[in-house]
Amino acid sequence: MLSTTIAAPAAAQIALRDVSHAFRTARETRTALDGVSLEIRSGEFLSIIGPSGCGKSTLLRLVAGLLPLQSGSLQVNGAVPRRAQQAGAFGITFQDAALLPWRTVLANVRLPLEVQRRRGTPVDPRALLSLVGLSGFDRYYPHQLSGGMQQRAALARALVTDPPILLMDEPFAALDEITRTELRHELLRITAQTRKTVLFVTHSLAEAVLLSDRVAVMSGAPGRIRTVIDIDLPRPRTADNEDAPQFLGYVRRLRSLLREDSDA
Amino acid sequence: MRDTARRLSTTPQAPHRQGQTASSRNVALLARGVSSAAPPLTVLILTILAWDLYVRLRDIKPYIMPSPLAVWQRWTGDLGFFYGEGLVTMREAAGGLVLGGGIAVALAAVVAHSRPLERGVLPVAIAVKVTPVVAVAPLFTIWFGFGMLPKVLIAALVTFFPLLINAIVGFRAVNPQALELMHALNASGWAVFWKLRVPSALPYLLSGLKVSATLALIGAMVAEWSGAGRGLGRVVLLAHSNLDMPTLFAGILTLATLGITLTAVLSLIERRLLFWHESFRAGARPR
Ligand SMILES: Nc1ncnc2c1ncn2[C@@H]1O[C@H](COP(=O)(O)OP(=O)(O)OP(=O)(O)O)[C@@H](O)[C@H]1O
Ligand SMILES: [Mg+2]
Repeated sequence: MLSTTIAAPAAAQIALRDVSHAFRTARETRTALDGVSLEIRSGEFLSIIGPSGCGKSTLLRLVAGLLPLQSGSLQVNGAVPRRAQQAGAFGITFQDAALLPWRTVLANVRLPLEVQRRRGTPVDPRALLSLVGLSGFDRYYPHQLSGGMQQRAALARALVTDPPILLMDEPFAALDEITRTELRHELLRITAQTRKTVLFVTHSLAEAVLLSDRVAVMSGAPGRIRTVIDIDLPRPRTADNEDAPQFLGYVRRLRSLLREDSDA
Repeated sequence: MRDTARRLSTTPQAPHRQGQTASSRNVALLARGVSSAAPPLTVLILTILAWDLYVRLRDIKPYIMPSPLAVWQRWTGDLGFFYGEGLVTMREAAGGLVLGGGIAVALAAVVAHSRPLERGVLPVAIAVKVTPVVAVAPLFTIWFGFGMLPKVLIAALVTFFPLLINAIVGFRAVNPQALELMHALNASGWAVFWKLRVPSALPYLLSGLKVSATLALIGAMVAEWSGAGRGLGRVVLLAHSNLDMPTLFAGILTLATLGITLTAVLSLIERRLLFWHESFRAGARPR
């Protein structure tokens, strides 16, 4: 199955120091991120929450090496993001599953193996499809799948190169509540099994609490990290945890942190 | 609408193939074919009837306007001749389509990556487009003789623009998140082009091809007017100077059937190749 990433003792696998980012458009310059410092440890699940437009996706794109670093320092596995990218460090999912409609589910999952110029030990795509609960669908086309199934396929695609880091930008945002809860628990199971370092963007507080070791709360305009809180809940976590007073306490705390921000 | 039942069943079950059998699908296709062919056929028959009535009642001279029956007899009496000449024109058009289309798509693949390049190329392309072929055709005949080449070049010229524009738009019509995924995987430009841009552009390329195909046919025919040994254009031109209206009309009829066949074949290829595309999916549902 999936190999286990060697858990370096609390080493920062992703380290942002004083990172700022501005977008220049024809009319104005908009500061999306302003002096963000954040460390994500190896094997850690860290969620980012914050108001819309506060720069969560921008932060993720910077880490993935999809945007050039403008100021501050940003290291992934001790190197610049582009290097980590070349070393195949990242698996990515987006809000839109972004499957290629002309490829079958299996061919979509295989895509990273075809394009990544790196010798490694790939994971068997069929085994991954069964891991995400899609066995038997390998010859289906994306338009024949429901939205939730498409996201499962996108998750399998992100895992197929066995990357040490998963970057997930609101992967469940477009789904209905029932499918979303289901997938949330699947992700919990899969990340426990594969020990990935996960950087996860979400708007759902319960989702952040259930999944994360830590939650970074951002404030908007310009985007800053307001605070990072530890989620001290035992693992493995199950659906029962979601009703525990401790769990609800965390959700309440996150909500009030976000509310303070919008009141300010 | 989205299937609520499937949406609610959160764990996907192993699929069991549902849907119609092959024969019931064929019957359905046939029924759809008949019902979609009925309106244009009705219009066609009414037009021919009106044409026939007009020629008879007003006693129009055959060298002004032949009766539909005269055209039909001339055409069916010499089908081999008309389609023999039609094949010549068709070959010229096909050659032009491959040449002009090939250059257009290759150019678009480069231009799609750079806005400045696009701004440099487009005015030239537009200049090519607005140049009337009737003006260029005699020139090409002087330069390249009476053979196939000048006709192929004219057909290529009219093919070029629609395909260039469609290909540029197509190569850019890429899902931005799929593109980001490719970049995050450190995919080569080559891989991005072949695995993402080309399939994304396919719907645009094929619809451009459909427009260009009929244009190429007309272009080749017009090119034949300024000097050709064979071809439908020559047949029509000769018939015109002899005031042989049935032959002229039969020539036009031949061209029309060739154009329709070409379009139909391309539509079929389109449907086969683009089964995954929104516009060709049966029971497409909103995403
Ligand atoms: N390509 C771009 N060009 C110009 N401005 C941009 C661009 N991308 C993002 N921005 C701006 O940067 C800011 C942060 O955007 P970002 O997408 O990172 O927000 P977000 O936190 O992910 O929001 P959401 O929760 O709605 O997804 C926004 O003000 C946005 O308008
Ligand atoms: Mg975002």
